Amino acid sequence: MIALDHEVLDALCPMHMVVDEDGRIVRAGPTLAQVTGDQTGAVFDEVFRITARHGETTVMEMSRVASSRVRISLREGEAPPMRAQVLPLGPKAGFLINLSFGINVKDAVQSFGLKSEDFSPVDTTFDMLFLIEANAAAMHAWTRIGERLQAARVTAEVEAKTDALTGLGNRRALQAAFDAMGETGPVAVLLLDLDNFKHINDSRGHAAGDDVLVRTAEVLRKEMRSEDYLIRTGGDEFLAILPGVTDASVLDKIAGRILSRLNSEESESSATGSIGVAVRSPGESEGLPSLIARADAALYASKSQGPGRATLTSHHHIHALSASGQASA
Amino acid sequence: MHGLIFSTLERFVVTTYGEGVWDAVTLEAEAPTSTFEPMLHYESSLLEALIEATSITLGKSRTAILEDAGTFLIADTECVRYLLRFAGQTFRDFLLALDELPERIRLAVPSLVLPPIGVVTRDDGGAEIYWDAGFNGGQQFLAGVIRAMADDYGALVTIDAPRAGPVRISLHGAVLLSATEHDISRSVAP
Repeated sequence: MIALDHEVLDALCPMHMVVDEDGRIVRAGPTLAQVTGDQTGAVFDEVFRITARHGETTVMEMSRVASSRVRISLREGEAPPMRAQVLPLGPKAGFLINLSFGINVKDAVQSFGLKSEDFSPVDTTFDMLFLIEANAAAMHAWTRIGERLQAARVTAEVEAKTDALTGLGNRRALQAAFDAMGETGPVAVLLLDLDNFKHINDSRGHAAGDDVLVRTAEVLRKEMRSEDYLIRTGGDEFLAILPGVTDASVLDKIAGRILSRLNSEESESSATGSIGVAVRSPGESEGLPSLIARADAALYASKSQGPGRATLTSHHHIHALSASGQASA
Repeated sequence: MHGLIFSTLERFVVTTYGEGVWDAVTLEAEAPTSTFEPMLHYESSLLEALIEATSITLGKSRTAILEDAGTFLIADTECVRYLLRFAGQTFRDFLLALDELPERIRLAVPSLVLPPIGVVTRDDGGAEIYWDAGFNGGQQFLAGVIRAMADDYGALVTIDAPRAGPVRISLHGAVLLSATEHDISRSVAP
């Protein structure tokens, strides 16, 4: 048996409370007093709510269950619940209740402006706070790395699908178009091939050839809507996919504008091109590879008629468009 | 070796001397990258090469550079300063708890393992700190850290970090007005 001075008890358990045999608060440790305000003389069960394993209970009942762990919260205010241990002090001697903030330590310390000297030096409350803050800092660092990696991944993905010279999609972007277009639904596929590209490269050099390609991409971009796909499939071949467009007269106008803008006397990078267009009408079922093959056949038909021509194929019908300002067949 | 160490050196050189200097340093050190991620790990020998290259590029001794880097780490990184303040209520508490620092750091960053730190108190209230960091200039780096922490606590101290022997710290009593309060009701992460 040891008898403790109140000062010693305050230093050891700054969050303790002594309750007499009538359930009135006799005294509280300094840190608990800072949290609850001075409650000396008050009835414990009126100030605090005790929740044990079997539900809400009273301090008198608790005294019969030796040393069990319970939750105690203030009836008034927003303080987080505390963890408590209730110990009977002997016959007619009341109870000693020791409290801690448990895992709610951060909220509690913030709400009540507690400092390290408010806790016993052997108490690990402040180490727990340190750990919480260190963990938050580490999570923050990881999040930032994650964001950087995500941004880099998005950039890499876009770059992987982009033709570096023209900024149009490359063959990798074609797969995305295949997936998006599926097997049904109205769509037009337009293939453009430059007629004299090899000649430009050979006679004026590769830099001039590159200029022509860049300008061709610009001409195509002006003609297309944001939902259309524009892809440079290779060398001097370009592919446009126009969802929802099947009207021959609309396609005729588009092809005509592309060819006449390409063949502009005002530009040093002027060129002539040939166009083949394939259409999948509403209700028809056909994959994009087959559409592209038909557009290619139409392009071949255009080429065979001389430079600057456009040909449209709808299913099983091939006819020349009046495109390009040059005579159509 | 832990990326935090590399990214500290990187931030120190970039912030203090500019990105051009850091590019020159990483070129001189033949480093495979000029950007170090704080949560990744890098080859230990690379740190030695980077410190050497910083010394050559700036024309300063490595001990002077490392002490500045230690001060920079604390002065420039609010979250590190804030976390280290958990070690003690006063600068003297902090000093006496320096032997706990490697464990404290391991608690925060489990993969960042530091060699043990020895603290010997003197009768006049000062202390001698023994630390074999495993790299030349480690003592000076620690001295820089302690100097910046003394500043944060507002403690008036003199610190002597000789090339050989312990770091000697003398306290001069007064607490300066510049002291920062350790406000634990705030949070370190934004």
